[in-house]
Amino acid sequence: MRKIKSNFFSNDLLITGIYFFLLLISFISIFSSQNSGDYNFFTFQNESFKQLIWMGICIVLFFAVSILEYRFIFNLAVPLYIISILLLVLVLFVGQEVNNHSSWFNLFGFKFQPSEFSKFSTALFLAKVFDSYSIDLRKFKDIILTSLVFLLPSSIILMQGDAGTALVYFAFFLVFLREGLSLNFLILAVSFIFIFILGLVLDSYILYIVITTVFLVVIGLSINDFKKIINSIVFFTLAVLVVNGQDFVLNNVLSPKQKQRVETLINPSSDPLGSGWNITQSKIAIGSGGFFGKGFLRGTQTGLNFVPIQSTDFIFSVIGEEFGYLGSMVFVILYLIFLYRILILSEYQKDKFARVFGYSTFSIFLFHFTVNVSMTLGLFPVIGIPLSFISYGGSSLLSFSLLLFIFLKLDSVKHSILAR
Amino acid sequence: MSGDKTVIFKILLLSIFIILSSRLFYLQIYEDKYHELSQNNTVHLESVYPSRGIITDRYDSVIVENQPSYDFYIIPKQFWTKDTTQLLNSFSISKNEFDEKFTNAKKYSLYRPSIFYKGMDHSTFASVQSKLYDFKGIYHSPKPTRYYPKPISSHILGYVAEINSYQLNKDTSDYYSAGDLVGYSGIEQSYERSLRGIKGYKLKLYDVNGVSAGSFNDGEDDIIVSNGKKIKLTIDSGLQSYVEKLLRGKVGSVVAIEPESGEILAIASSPSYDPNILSGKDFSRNYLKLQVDSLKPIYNRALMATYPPGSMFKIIQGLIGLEEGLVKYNDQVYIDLKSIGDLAPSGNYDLKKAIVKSSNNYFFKLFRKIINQNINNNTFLDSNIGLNKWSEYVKMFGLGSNLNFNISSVNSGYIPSSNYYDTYYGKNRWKFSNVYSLSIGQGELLVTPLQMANFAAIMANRGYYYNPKLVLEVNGNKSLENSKINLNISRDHFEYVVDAMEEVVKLGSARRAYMLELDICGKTSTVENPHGYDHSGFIGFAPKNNPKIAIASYIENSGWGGRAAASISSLVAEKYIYKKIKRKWLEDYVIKGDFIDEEDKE
Repeated sequence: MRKIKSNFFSNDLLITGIYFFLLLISFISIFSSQNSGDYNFFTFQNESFKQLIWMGICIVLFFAVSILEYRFIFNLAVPLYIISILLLVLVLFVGQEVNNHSSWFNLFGFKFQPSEFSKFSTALFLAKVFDSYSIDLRKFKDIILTSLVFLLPSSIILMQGDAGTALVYFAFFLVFLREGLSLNFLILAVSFIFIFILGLVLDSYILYIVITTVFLVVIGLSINDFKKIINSIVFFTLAVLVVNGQDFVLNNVLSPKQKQRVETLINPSSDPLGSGWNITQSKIAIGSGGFFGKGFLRGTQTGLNFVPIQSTDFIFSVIGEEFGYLGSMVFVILYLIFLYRILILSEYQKDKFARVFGYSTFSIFLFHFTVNVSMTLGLFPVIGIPLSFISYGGSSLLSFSLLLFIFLKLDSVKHSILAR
Repeated sequence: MSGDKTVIFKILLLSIFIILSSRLFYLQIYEDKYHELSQNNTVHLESVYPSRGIITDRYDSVIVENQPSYDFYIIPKQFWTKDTTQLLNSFSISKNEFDEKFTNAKKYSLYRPSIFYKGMDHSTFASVQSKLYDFKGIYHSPKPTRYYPKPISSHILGYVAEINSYQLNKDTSDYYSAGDLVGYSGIEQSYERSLRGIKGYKLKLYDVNGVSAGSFNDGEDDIIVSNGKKIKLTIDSGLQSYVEKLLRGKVGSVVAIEPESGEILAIASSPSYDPNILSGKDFSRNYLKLQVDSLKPIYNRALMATYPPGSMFKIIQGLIGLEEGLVKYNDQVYIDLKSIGDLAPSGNYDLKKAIVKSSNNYFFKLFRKIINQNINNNTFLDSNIGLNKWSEYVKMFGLGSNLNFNISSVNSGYIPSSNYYDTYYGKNRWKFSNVYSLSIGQGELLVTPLQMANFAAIMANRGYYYNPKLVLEVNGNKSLENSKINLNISRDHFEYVVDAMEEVVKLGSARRAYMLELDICGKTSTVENPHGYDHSGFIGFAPKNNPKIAIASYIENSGWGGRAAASISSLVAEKYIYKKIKRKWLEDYVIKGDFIDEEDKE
């Protein structure tokens, strides 16, 4: 069979197009969020200029990745994973603290965050694991062992104090669903999250009454099915544990700051100048955009720094304020098309390695996008994670781009896989 | 799982789309409070203060103007100085005071300016200005303050101070905000709307630290400030300061009116105060000091003090008698001294002589004729009718009325009518013998110096007056002409009485006021004062023909009208007509102010 020569022209054009469009939106938003007073654009104090350089590096990376060989990427999975785990451990000891996280290396003035990079290496390694071993996700042992691939970096990152990024690794859960994990786990997870949130809003005894009622009804309906009864009893026990454990999670697992953020989400006016500030100001920024928005560089909320960390975690508030409902919807739809396209392409990968990597890419982007935008809209607690491709930050842009480029590369050669 | 493995993820994407788009719809389109919230966040209304209108005298000489005083602000974050002692000295505050201010400022905000020093006057500022460069983080802003180049007419001008909470609540137009300056009493209050101008507004953007970030919408929504209007008074500032000079050290008041127009040329009350002390940072302290002063320097005696008119009222009695036909020009009446205490000798009197000699018993008799005209046989009812008729006459002279004088508060005095005595003694339980002291301007009658000056103008005009006015022009536009008010009394009667007033000055009790060229006409009053020495009163005008000035003077506790009040009035007339004083001896006598003889004191 003729070997298909691959180059970047064989990349998926829709994804590539949207990627560059997102970079444009990113530059515009960061430029706007920095635009206050007279300053020199071409300085390293200027975030939009710095990000422009990072974007340039990404374009170089784009061409670099397109000339890589499939096997090379495949073989890179194990060493990269090991390196990234080592870096994550190393940063615990020699890292620089930023926003109470000791997750940064400081290299020649450029800050580098290994936890961003390890998302990519974890995805690669997970793909390799699924590809190399015959894993049956109906087996409990296999689930646990495979989960360790992402639980390891996640727990080290949690030790760094960055709960938000640690949480991102649970996005790999979606990959597991595709690879045969029972849907019951999804239902279970969603139910417990739902119960957890209800527990914040309602008194716990009301919750007990509701759970018990549901439990008794289910038992009554499935009186002849022993397996269902067992399942119900397990579910009931876990649900009670969630309700009971809620205070434990709030008081012991989450830092006081994170706990406050969870409480703020339920009632933002409880502490309007403290932890409620971010959400309130971000909502005001987006809400005041109206239908058409205030116009480029005319956002008062963001332009006058009312929204904190707006160039990173709250970058969406710039879009919402300056480009209004119209701009926000264009952005959301564009991003969802982008994600949808990655999903479809992943599904049609010919081998498991590419498919799992594709789903990982999809899951990570989906998680970042959904959680970050929900956070700025006041739908989710503030857990500082960036909006992929849009937020300011070199490490995150680079590792997100790398993730995407590698996926595009794997996708572009899928027709030649047969030759393997 | 079988079939399409992407279904669950497609559902996920769809639900995310639905959740995010509906949330965006809710925030950006459905809920409209956010737009306002963002405006409140960043756009602040900043007032631009108009400069308050200046006030000039009738010859455009400035009486009240504005001079900047300086407020100092501190921004704790920026504050730095290498020499704290110099800072403390410049603002003449102690280290402790400074520390307290600094701590409070920090408590308020690190980035926003807090007030640090209020109302530094212009001259102090000039001396501190060069050092300000050494104090980083301390800013100043000029604030217009009232300045009085000639410290005169403080009472009538009123003062300007920060609006108090009572006024602020009363302000239905919502124009004022706390800390705004507003006129209190006098012209400053009555003409507040003209003087203050219209505040302008600038919409300014502020960032999250409260640091200004330029104007909103390029200033298109700003409201342009409109400065206060200039007010031109009828006051002759030269005359006014001369009057105040004469009154210094005395308690009383002088009002001088141009009879032809009703324009007030001078209006002074003593004791007075330098209006400059109520302008600027020491307002509260100085105001308190004035308030507790037992001589009540804030009290405007010219408008507010009421006295019995005393003997000058005999002129009015005479005019009523003539108009009622109860007395003729040459009627001679023998006057004994039996009815009422008198300083005039007994003998034959006509009305003119009675006025010149100020015969109490003559006017006792005349007043009895006025009260009891035998219209009713019942002497009680007859007195009632007579008194009401008299009361109507007296009111024609503007007594018992505020004369439409709408500058600050004015006392209307009191003219008793039958109702008053009905209440006091019981209906039809009183007659002439109960009210006779009215005949010589004593008793229940109360008049103000302004009313007496107006009365002097009536005499000067021989039977008409214009309500006294104080404001000539507002912003160059003539204020409304007061209408001419005629008294229903024959002009001949006035001429007759004016002749008598001329003689009062030439030969009678007001001889001290005499000046050959001036041809002054007048009448003195020595107002009985149960609390101490009599009050000295005088009304008069000059010259007799074509009068230029009508004057009323009341000097409290100064004994005879012929001394303090007559002398002062005469000097005021001389000053106004000749612009200088020839009678230095009289001026010295007045300034020395020792009007009570040894024998009076006993």
